[in-house]
Amino acid sequence: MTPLYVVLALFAFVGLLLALSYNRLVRLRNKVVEAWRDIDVQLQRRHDLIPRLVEIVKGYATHESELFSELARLRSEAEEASGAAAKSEPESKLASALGKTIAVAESYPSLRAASNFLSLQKEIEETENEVAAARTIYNGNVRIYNTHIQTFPVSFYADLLGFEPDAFFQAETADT
Amino acid sequence: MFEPEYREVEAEERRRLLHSFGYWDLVALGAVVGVGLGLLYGLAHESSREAWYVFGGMAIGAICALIIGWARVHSRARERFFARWAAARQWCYEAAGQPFEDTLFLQSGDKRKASDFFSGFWPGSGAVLYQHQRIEKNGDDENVTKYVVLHFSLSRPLIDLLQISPRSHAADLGETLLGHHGEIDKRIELESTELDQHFRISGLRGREDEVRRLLTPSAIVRLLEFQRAFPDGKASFEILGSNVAFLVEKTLSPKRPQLIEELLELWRPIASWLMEEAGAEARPS
Repeated sequence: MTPLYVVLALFAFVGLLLALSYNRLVRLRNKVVEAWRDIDVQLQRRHDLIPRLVEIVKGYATHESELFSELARLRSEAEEASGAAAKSEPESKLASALGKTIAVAESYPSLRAASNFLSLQKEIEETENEVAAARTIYNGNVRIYNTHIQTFPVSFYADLLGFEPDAFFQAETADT
Repeated sequence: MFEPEYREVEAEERRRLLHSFGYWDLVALGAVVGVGLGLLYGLAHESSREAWYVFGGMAIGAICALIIGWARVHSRARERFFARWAAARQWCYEAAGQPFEDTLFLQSGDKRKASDFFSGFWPGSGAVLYQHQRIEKNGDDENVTKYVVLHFSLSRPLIDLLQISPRSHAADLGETLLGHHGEIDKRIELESTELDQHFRISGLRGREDEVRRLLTPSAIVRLLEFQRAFPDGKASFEILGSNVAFLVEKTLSPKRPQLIEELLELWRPIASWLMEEAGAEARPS
């Protein structure tokens, strides 16, 4: 009977270790999801600011219509993409176009002095800072999660349990 | 900016001591007291070696006085150096004072002591950086932990309670807090895995949303930057109403005053962010 108990105890021990490891994997994956939600919120905030920026700049810079339509196109492209990997490129392009629009706006002295533009510019700057911070947190979580599932012994069973490496979010922020 | 050198200040103090009559008077007094005590000891023991006791007593008395004077050189040099160093930066310096006790971390311990108070306008308004000592009694032993603290008050209460303490030290600090055992939720988890690995976030039970609202992604990133700069610094942050304390387990030394500037450099953005959140300038502590 004794060898049977030993085997059972071993099974129970291994089962307990697996359960703990599984819980840790779930926790780490949930952190990645949670951090991504943060990025999503900040990106949505950025997208919401674009029509307001266009509306203000349009009143002064009437012949920059090409830039505005480019901005609108990039915004809808970025909104259509989902997930970190797919969103990285369109969001980078959108951020660059946003930076360009602000630079154009700043070349109009009357617009640069307008209070609504100044407050919007501040809001954009804050949003870009939050996007950058949320990206740092997300990428940090992804790094920890990916390292965990790719190292021994978790690498043996992570794939079987449906845990796959996540993509980093590599989008740039607008230069405000 | 005139930058004082600690060695120079110490040498100056030593010269001053050696040239002062008071010091040699003290040494002479020590020798005389030693002679008296030696003589009394010799008479009490009815010894034939009275002369040796007198001589020994004189030597011991004089050496004690010399040591006391020498120790005083260090403490005076420390005070003078810090005062000059602070003045060069247009800060104020006080060698002694009462410790702040208006946050839970600062109240913890059986006894508290404070020294080396620097005050300036670092985060945009009045703030005090000082050496805080938390003393815990364990039978006859005293366990002293030294912290460098940045303390300031906000113009309005920002949150009832927010504590960010190092994970390894959260237990001994958190558990000893007075009167708040049942009310504190010590397991608030934010979105950053790294933050959770290094810090334990606590707030009042049922007020998790307030903590989440305050700790935005950029605030979390600032905390992580601090952690990276001082990986073994055991940094803590606490807000209790309008009182704010940042602590790091370090000792202020005149031999390395740069620590103060390094800490301020890292604390400043966090403090400024809190002041912005409070919506107005902080008032002096």
